[in-house]
Amino acid sequence: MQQTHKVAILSNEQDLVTRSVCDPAAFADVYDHYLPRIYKYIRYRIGDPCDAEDLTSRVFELILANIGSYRQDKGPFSGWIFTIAHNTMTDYFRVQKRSICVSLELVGEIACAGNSPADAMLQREKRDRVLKAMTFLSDRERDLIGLKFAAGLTNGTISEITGLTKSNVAVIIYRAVRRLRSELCVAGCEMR
Amino acid sequence: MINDQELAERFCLDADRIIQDPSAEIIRVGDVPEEYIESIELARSLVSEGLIDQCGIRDQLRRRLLEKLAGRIGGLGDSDELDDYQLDMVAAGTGSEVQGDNCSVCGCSRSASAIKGGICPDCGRPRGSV
Repeated sequence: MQQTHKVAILSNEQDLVTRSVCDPAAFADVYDHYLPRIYKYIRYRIGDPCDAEDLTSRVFELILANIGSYRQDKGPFSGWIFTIAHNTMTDYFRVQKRSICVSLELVGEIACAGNSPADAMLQREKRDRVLKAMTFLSDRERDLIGLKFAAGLTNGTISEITGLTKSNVAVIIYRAVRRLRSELCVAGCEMR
Repeated sequence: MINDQELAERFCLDADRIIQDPSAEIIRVGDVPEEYIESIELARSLVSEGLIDQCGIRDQLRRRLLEKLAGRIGGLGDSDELDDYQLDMVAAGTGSEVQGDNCSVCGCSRSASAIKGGICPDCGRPRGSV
């Protein structure tokens, strides 16, 4: 059975964020809520699971170090947190001096847990194809796909993070999804 | 005929609905191409896909961050002080050798390399004196 991962709203988020500076339990709630989205965003941008884990750690270290400086009047917390993730990725690519760093072999070797073995295998095949198809997109397209579908951000927040206009964000996302779909069609993967 | 810009705007609005509820039904309004509906289904799949089960550091990272925060709250991790890794770097890898070598008077947990001049800044006595 296909699992659905709704981008849930963290109830009482502002209170949790404020308390996170000095309350480990509050920070744990923030961590549990955002880890899947941060990790997924990073995985959409780079395929290597080891690098993705390392970068996820780096992002959360920065969040922990700076969470006291977050100001609600400057924008939503999700925008702040994904700005850190986005900037961390930008630094990573600057150091790596490469925009495509997905190892197709690594993508294929990833283990998949949960569900029945048959479901898990189908799910794994599907996600592997999507991750592979993602490598044909430009880094900017992967960034926007990640910010939209992994982070679950509005075009307005994505516009603030990337510096693109909202119209541009919409067009790039739509074209990137069409391109991704076309790559999946070439690979013989039906999404419907 | 809807132009690309309008289609892109509509696509993102539909995507926002799917993000809020991955099972939301998207109603086909007006003259949208078949390709649009297929792209919506792909967007639904991207939203629904969970990758977190592949993240092997979830618990370990959680524990490390919470320990760090607890240390900071307890005053052990003031921003002016060096963390364990930085101390190791400063001590050129001798961090493990001095581990556990605390001030015997006040028990402040400062390592030898962190106490300048051999005087403990917490109790003011020569380090190691009884």
